[in-house]
Amino acid sequence: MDKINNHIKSFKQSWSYILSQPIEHLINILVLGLIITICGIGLSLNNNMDTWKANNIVYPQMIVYMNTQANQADIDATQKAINKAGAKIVKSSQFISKDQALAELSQDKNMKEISSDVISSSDNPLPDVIIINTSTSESSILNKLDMQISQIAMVDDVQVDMNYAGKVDNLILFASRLSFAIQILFIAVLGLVIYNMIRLQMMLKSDAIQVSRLIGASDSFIMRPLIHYALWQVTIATLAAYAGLFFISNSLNNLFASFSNLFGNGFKITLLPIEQFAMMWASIAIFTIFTVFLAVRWVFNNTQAKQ
Amino acid sequence: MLENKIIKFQQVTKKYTGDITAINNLSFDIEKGELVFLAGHSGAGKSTILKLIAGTEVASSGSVVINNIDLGKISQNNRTFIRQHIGFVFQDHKILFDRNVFDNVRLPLDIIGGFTEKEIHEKVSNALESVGLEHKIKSRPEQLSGGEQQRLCIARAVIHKPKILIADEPTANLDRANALKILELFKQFHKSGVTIIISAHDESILNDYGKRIIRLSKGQFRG
Repeated sequence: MDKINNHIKSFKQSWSYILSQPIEHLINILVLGLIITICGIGLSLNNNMDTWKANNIVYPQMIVYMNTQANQADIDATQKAINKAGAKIVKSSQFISKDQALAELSQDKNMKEISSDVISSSDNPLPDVIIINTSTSESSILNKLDMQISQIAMVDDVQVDMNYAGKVDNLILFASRLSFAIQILFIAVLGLVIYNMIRLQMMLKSDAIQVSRLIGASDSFIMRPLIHYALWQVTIATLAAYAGLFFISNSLNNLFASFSNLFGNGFKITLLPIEQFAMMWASIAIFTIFTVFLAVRWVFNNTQAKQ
Repeated sequence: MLENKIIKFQQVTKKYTGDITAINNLSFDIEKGELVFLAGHSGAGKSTILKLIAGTEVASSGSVVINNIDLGKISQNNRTFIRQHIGFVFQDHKILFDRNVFDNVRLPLDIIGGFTEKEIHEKVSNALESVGLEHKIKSRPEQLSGGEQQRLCIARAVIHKPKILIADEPTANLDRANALKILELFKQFHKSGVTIIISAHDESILNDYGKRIIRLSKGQFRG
């Protein structure tokens, strides 16, 4: 009961102190909020990566050219082999028959002149084609699929831009690693900011701390108000960061919607789910308590060493 | 016999960094409820003795025993806990200027914990009344004179009814009239059974009290 009372007292003290000097604390909260926003952006980036990959053309297309002599049974066999690869490799496939291709070619005003020989030919020289939309950018998997399809009878050629797949793969990996590094860096910065905030508070209240220790205050008695002070500022900063993330994602989504032709449909940033956000706050809160503990211990040890 | 000794110094030596000997092989006892003066010039070792009793310093050799507890054999945390049973009066008052008289005096009760706001109000009022500052309960410390600040410090030291009260040169910054008033306050507390140790460099003010005086010079007994 005593501990609860002490926490309630520290809570009241922290809030009255924060509210008594709003400008000074607003600056603290903005700095903390900015750092937490950057960490949140990193988390959102990771979260959205898979969605982006699934919803947009970031995986290479594979084009299967059938032999001009191929019949329906050959095409069915090829389709069967493609489907067998599974949804993790093949997202979808589309069959374009030689007749459909010729019809589209003859309707295309730009292509009509260039391909007049083909269109006017009595024997359609175009091959049947299967376009495979893959759902992976891993070159080893795509190479294997390429090999498997190429070996099917009546398949003339399989084209896939493996270079593109590799580039996309590396780009996504790089983005993930960059986002992770940014998060680690800014968590370290967050630690330093909290540490410095507590160090300054201890300097400002050095008389009260010194007297309290002299008359028997335990470390927890001194640490408790500092923990509340840091924790509530971090909590406000986290809420501000969430509002910031909401604003940023909304603005970017509006921007992406205007350039949907460039980015593709479904290119949308989803905000951190509330559970994940609560987890982020809890982690930051634990990290804050730990940082306050370290800062207080460091200041105590330093003061004792100097005495 | 041992039970009656609340403070025991047994061949205590305290050396600081740079091989500076503050007190050298001192042995003495203080009985429960005794009022003792530590007299001597600056550097005689008075403050060191008080710090050793308070447990803010640890003896380099020998043992300091408070209430049958050897301070050298317990942890820093336990020494801190023992300080909750000691009242401190400082030469420089160590008043907190970021809070009013009431909040200054209540500090030991907050540290010990377990008191309701009503109890705290009552105890603070009583402590301030005992030092004649009840009318200053809402004042800021900077509005108090030097003598009043020292009385505020005494009120803070006695509010939790400590078993031991130690005062480090409580009269050093006061004129004779104020100094005598402060010593009179200590005398009153002594009557209630508190063990009091007061350090002072001006012996003339102590002789009239007819109490035990431990005279020190360069960390050893004198006279």
